[in-house]
Parts: sequence; structure tokens; C-alpha cells
Amino acid sequence: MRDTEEIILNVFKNHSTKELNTEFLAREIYPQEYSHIENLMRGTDKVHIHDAKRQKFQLHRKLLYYINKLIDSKIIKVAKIAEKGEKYFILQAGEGDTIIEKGYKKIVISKPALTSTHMDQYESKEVMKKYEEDSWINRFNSIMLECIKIPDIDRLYGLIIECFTNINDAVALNEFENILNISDDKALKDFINKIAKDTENSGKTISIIVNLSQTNNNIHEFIDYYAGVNPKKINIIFNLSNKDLQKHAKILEHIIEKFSDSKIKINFKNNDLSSAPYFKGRAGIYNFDEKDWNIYNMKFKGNVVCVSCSQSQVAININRFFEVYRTDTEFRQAILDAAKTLLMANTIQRRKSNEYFRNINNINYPNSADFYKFSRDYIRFWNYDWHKDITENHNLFELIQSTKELIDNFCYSEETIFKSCGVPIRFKIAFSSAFRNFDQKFMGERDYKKFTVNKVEDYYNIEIKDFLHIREKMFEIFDGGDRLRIFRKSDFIMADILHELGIILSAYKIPFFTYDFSGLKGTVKLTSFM
Amino acid sequence: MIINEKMCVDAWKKALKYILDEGTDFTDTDDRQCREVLNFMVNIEQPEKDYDKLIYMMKQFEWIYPTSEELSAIIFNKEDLAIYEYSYGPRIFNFSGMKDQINDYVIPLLKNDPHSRRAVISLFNPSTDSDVLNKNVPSLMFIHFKIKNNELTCTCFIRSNDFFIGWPGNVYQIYLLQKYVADKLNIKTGALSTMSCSAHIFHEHFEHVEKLK
Repeated sequence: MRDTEEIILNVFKNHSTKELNTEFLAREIYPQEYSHIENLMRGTDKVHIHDAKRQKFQLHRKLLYYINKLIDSKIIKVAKIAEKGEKYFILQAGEGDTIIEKGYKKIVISKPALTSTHMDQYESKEVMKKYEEDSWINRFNSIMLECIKIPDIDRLYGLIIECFTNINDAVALNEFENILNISDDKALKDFINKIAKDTENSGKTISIIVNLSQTNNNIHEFIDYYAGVNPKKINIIFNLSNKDLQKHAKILEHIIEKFSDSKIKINFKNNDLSSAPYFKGRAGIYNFDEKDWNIYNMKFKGNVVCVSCSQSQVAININRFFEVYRTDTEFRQAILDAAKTLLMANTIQRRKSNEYFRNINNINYPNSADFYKFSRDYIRFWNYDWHKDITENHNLFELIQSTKELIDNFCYSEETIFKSCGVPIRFKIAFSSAFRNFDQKFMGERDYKKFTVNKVEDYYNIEIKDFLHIREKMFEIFDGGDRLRIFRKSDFIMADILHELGIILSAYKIPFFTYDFSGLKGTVKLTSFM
Repeated sequence: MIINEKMCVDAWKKALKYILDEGTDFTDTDDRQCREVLNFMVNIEQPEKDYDKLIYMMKQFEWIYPTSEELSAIIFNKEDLAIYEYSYGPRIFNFSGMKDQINDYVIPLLKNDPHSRRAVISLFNPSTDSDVLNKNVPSLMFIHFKIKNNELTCTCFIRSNDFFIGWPGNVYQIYLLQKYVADKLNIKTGALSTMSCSAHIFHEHFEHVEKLK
């Protein structure tokens, strides 16, 4: 392979699904020459401009010589010819890994499926984004491992590593107390060290879900060690109900002390409001549908080691959307187009499931089909609370809610169509909020009002009560889960925090919330609790 | 009730009108409002004329309808994919991993005995489908093949049939199978009949159905 051909292929390698025009390719392949031409074009000297145009023409012709050779070799093809005859090129290979060998050189290009989707126009205007585009079809977003089905911590670690090859965001460890209660100190420490390193290296996240009421004394050591390591990509979710507060006050105090000292967020799921697990990924919160979860518990729990939670996901930047588009109708159409794109992604996942997810199928054998039964796709919203005063977002919330109804009907219809045709697909789309880590560049800064609590009495403030009621409404709309983040500032005594937890757990329909102590100054001393 | 038409599209439109005009309303297990006619028979005399037209007609709506290639793969692909609880292809060509109901039964049977009334295949498997909690049960349950006047007729039994969005795909697929068997028997295809235990249209599709008139 000649050098220029190799450079061209490397450009396509970085844009394996895109149609690239001659100008873009020329700029990438001959950066210095192109920059010189552009400088000349910017000037006012007509002779220079004329000369620049001639040079540009020559450069394009030179490039097309190599492009045509790659076309002859059936490596790339003309995708379209735009106005004024400008050609767009695209890789000719199908989805998956393509190895291009010419002479002694070899290039591997991974090309995900779906080169063109209903979302294209929104992506080009940067109002919508697929999560991890390179792997958004051949990886699931999140998977939950059932610790009750896993004999020991070594096997659990092995399964996490296997699952990491099949996901692009989060693995949840449900009912981790089943492992915690039977593992010794050393094994637990090794486990945390290993998964801390693996999550850092892979960029993936792990959520450890613990039912506080089911834990034994090992929890103390585990919390101490976890807080000491403070792994950035591992979360612990504590499942508890209001009545657990009193019963497990001691361990809760221990957790709050250790986590607040290390500025670690504490995540709580309210068992009284939701029996289905909630967990965190980079993209946002994940959960299972409550009705589905009941069916899972009745019929499938115990059959499978892991369950898929989310297949594919996209995010929409709401305030940017309304800068580009104006109407509610356009918003609904955009979300419908996103749903169609997700359906197409699911279709490819189904067709290639034996190839993409072979090891997951093997893990769950002979109940492999059960793995896929409760999975959903996610449409996430960024800047949905873009008015600083959240109460001003009322119309937007209504729009999201009515759009959800539209999408639910679309999903039902698609399931009916495919079922009628002999393919009992599951196609459900959940709405949820997005985290900035979904894609920091796409999301940009978020301008929102932080929910800050300085003292327990704040919860009796009318403004805070109104805010929490609006968040309750958001939890209803976001059937894919949401998270209330409470920034806890100022010194506190332990009884205050337990009191505050009691208020959230008993007085509000907020199934998942996080206490964030990052605003605290210094280390909380034990004496502060007294 | 029996609808009799020469062509698929005419039969479809007439059937939809009948369900809208004569059906009764009910709410299904997913809380969706339907209009339904029970024991609804549609007989198409010459399905070969326009069996694929229904699929193209469905593309005018906002849904993504499976392509004709996908529909064909669903009925002919015998590979069991773990992601599906069931699919028609494996049920027809590899039932319970043991039986090719078409190539090892229907075709030899009708070759040996062109008057046979036993050429029936089952897509329903009681050992897995008769389960109270299992909602993923094939709608298309049986297909019966019969040679009449040297043409292969085909009758299928569909337990639950969304007549607006499901039936076009059903007819397309069943005709492909009918043609496959007829070709193997070196005869022409004849009438295609569907017997729908519950033929229904969801309320949210009424306005689309109206557009078809």
C-alpha cells in the first residue's frame, strides 16, 4: 500500500460510518498545502486567489488519483454526488471489522452498522448524540449480574471481566450482600483493588447494590476499605426503606462518617417506592421497569446469572434543540426519529446476537433468551431543567410527558408488527436524564440550580418542598430512572442526616437520591456528630 | 364471517371496514383499546397477484415495517437465535430442534398423496407456550396445505391478529411458504385463507385505517 493510500484509509478509519467529501479529505491528507491555499484564498489579491484556486484544483486531482485506486480495489465507493458535482466517499465494507491488506501493510477498520439513520439531521446539528457511537450496536449499555447465582467473589470478578467485553457503560452487582457476607477481608480488598483498576482502565463503571438489611458484620470493613480506596468509577447503592433507618442506624452512621470524610457520594434507593434495582453509569441512571421486575421475580429470578438492562441509548440536548428548532411538533418528531434509530439498532443486534453476545449467551445457558427479556433502550435528556427556576419548566415537562405517550404507542405498534410477523421482539424505550459524562463535549456545561441543604430545617422551607414535588413529577415521567442529588453543606450531627434521610424516604416519592458531601470543608470529625 | 376476494389488497380493505363497522370494543391485557371480530375468515383467491403490495402500503405510515427480506428471513431462517423466545422459521423448519415440518413431512406427504388432508404444520408448542406467565406465544398457530384442482391452497389459523399492522406481514410470509411448497410439488399456488380467532384493530390506528379507504 502506498503511503498516501494508507493515510486516506486512516482518515476513513476514524470516520468509518461517515460520507467524506473531497474537500474534507484533502484538508486531512494534505494539511500544510491546504492551509497555504486557504491563506491565499482569504487575501484580497486577485492573482493570489486565482493561483490558490488552481492549486486547490490540482490538490483535489492528486487526491482523486489515490481515491480512484481505492475505489478500483473496492475498498471505498462514491456515496453520493452533491451539488456542483462534489463527490462524497464512504467505506465500501459492511459492518464489523474489516482487514484491508495491500502489499505488506495491513489496516483494520471497525465499522459499526447503520451508516444512515433517522437521527442524522439532528446529529449534524449537534442536538442529538448516540452514546459511544463506535460500540453503540455491538455492545449493551448496562448489564446486571445476580450475585445470588454466583458462588464466590473470584467467579464474580471473572464474570465482570467477561461482561466488560459486552458493555460500553455499566455493570451492576445486584444483592452484593450475598458475596459480601461470605467473603473474607483479604478477598474483598483484592476485589475492590482489581475492579478499581479495571474500571479506570476501561472507562466503564460498576454499581454495587447492597440491601443494608441483609448484610452481616463484613459491611464495616468493606465500607472502610472502599472509602479508603475511593474508586471514582465504582458506586455503591444502598437499598433501604424508612423502617431500616432506625434498625440500621449504626451502620448508616458509619457509612455517612466514612463517605463524607472521603467526599464520596452516598446513593440510596427507596425500597418502599421501588423494588426494581437502580444503578448509575457514565451516561446516567439505569433501572428496570417495576412491572417487568415483578414478572422477573415471579418467573425468571434464579434462571439467569445476568440480565440486560439497556441496549442502546441516545441523548438530546434540550436547550440546544430549541435554539435550532422551534416547535413542540418538531420535538416530538425528533424523539420519534430517535426511537426509529434505536429500533434499527436493535434489529441489527438481534440479527447478530449470536456473534456479538456469544459469551453472554453462554453465561446464561440454557436460559439465554431470558437475558434479553427486560432490556430497554434509553432516550436521555440533557438540560431539561434549563430554566434556572425549575417551576418555569412546567410546559417542557408536559411536552416530555406527551412525547413519552407517543413513544410508548410507537413501541407497542412495533412490537405488534414484529410479533405478528413471527419475531417476538421486546422494544421498550425508557426516558431518563443524562449525566454530563454521557459525552462531555456534546453536553457542554449545564446551567442548573443545585439542590443544597445546609440544615435539616431546610426541608420545611416552602421553596424546597416545591422543588421536591417537581422532582417527584420528573421521577414519574422518567420511567428509566432519575436521580435527585442533594448537596449537603455545613457541619452536621449524625441525627440530622438520619432525620433528613427519613424525610426523603417517607414524605416524597423519590425512589433514588444521592447525598453529595463534596461541598463540606475539611474532614468531618466524629465529634461533629455528637 | 367470511370475506371473499380475488386480491389481497381488496380483501384487506374489506376486512378492515368490516371490523370497524361491525366489531365490538374491548380493552386488552396491556390496557389498549381494540375493536374486535371473532372467528373471522378471509379468503384470497389469487394471492400471487398482489401479495407483496400490502408491505409497500404499510411503508406510508410512521412505523418501521420489516423489509420483505426480513419477512422472508423470519419464515425461512431455521437458526434459533438466543435473543428470541421463538421465531417462525425454527418452528417450521426445525421444530423443537427435531423436525423439519415442511421438507420432511408436508412435501413428501403431498407428493405421495395429493388428496391428503393431513398436511398441517404447527407453530404452537404446548410444552413451552402453554404457560400462564409466557406472553410471547406465536400468533400464527397452524398452517394447512391442501391440493385442489392441481393448485396448492393454504389455510392458516391465527389466534390473535392485528388486522391493520399484522395481517399484511402474515399474508406475505404465508404466501412465500405456500409458493415454496408449491414449487417443490411442481404445481401452482391457489387460494390463501386466514382464519383469525380474534381479528382486531387498535383504536389508535383508526385514523390510519380510514386513510386506506
